[in-house]
Parts: sequence; structure tokens; C-alpha cells
Amino acid sequence: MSGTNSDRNSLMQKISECEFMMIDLGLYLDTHPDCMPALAAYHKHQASFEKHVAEFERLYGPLTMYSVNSDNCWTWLELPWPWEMEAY
Amino acid sequence: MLFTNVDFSHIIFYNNMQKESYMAYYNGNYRSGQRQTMANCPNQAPRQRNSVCCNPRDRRADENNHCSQNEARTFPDTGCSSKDTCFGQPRTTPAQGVAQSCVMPSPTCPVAMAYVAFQAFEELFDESKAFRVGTVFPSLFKPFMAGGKCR
Repeated sequence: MSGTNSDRNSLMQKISECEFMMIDLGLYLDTHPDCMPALAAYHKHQASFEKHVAEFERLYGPLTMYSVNSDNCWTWLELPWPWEMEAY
Repeated sequence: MLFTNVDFSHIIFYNNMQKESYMAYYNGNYRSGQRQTMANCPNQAPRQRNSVCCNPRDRRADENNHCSQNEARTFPDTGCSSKDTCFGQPRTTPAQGVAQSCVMPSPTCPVAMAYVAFQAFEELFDESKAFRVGTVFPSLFKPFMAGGKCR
């Protein structure tokens, strides 16, 4: 795995922040479906979220079991689990 | 993972007789705090006389797009030709320095009913601040402040 622990944690933090922006804007858009500024902000953070997730998964492996890309082994099991803090 | 802070403690009543509106503060089940007019509410913008009316069911605009709040309720399809300005609520300008967050559904809301003001879009917090405080909308950020203060 490349990258330091602080890079991993700061990237994870950015992913959480972008995800939260999408969640809260999504709640707002549920009641204001035609609000163009909110939609634009949602798409901006969605793009940022996808970019950070792709970067994270490139460096540190899959974030969810839906993005395992290995052909020969199930890397999802090999990586440290989130509660195994000594690995981070 | 939901981090929305919605403040349900403010119930807003319109007094149709005096054409004024008051905000009551509820603490749990007990009514407390002072009555204050909507003009003092930090999140309620003072209503502009020349605002474009955007609820065709409740207001009528004349040819200069001025709205009379005292007109009887009718259902003509007038006043709102542009979809950009009409989100189903009257448009007002924000009070100085405060993002407008709430607009009542109608200027003629009947008495004895509780209403929830309709949220308007505003400039969002940046990502790290939003994640820290639990909302992306500054007007929904209502931290507890001891000593009877409110935000």
C-alpha cells in the first residue's frame, strides 16, 4: 500500500465530508426539486466524492465490496478491517 | 448517517385581525419566551412591499407586479409568469447579514394552525465546516447557547 497513514485518514475524511454534503443537499432537494443552485452544488460535490473515492480505492483498496477489481483473489478479505486500528 | 439539525421549537402564528405575526417559543411542551414580531426574528426577512408574488392561488399582482396582501383569496392565474421566481412562496430580500431561511407558505395563513416556514436556498458552509457542525445550511446551524440567547 502506498501513502502514509495521515494521507489515508485525510482522504477518508474528505470522502466523508463530500458524502455528507450530498446527503444534506439530497434532503433539501427532496422538498425543493426544482432548485437549480442546490442541484448544481449537489453535482459539484458528487463529482468531488467520486474523484476522492477513486483515488482512495486506487491507493488503499476497495471501500465497498462492490468495487473489488482483482481477478485472482478476493482482496476484500485481505485488507485490514476498519476496527483493526493497528494496521492504520 | 444523517446530520440534520431542524429546530421544531418555533411555531409561528399569524394574527389576521392585526395583520401582524408573532413567534412563540416552545420549550418542550411549555410555552416560554417572549412574543416578538416577525421583524425581529433573525431568520425572517422583513417583507418588501414590492416583492413579486409567487403564489398565484393567494395573491394577485397588478400590471406593475405589485402585490396586495389584503386582497381576497382568489384563484386566477396571474402574477407568476416566470418559473425562475416562483417556488411557491413570496420572495423577500434577506435581512442585513442574515441568510433568509424561512418563508411562510402564505400571507393569509389562518389562525389556530401550526405552520412550518419553507426553507430557502442560501450560501452553503464549506465541506469541513458542514461536516463538523452537522448541516450545510447556515440558517439550520443552531448551537446551544446558554444564558437565554438564541441564534
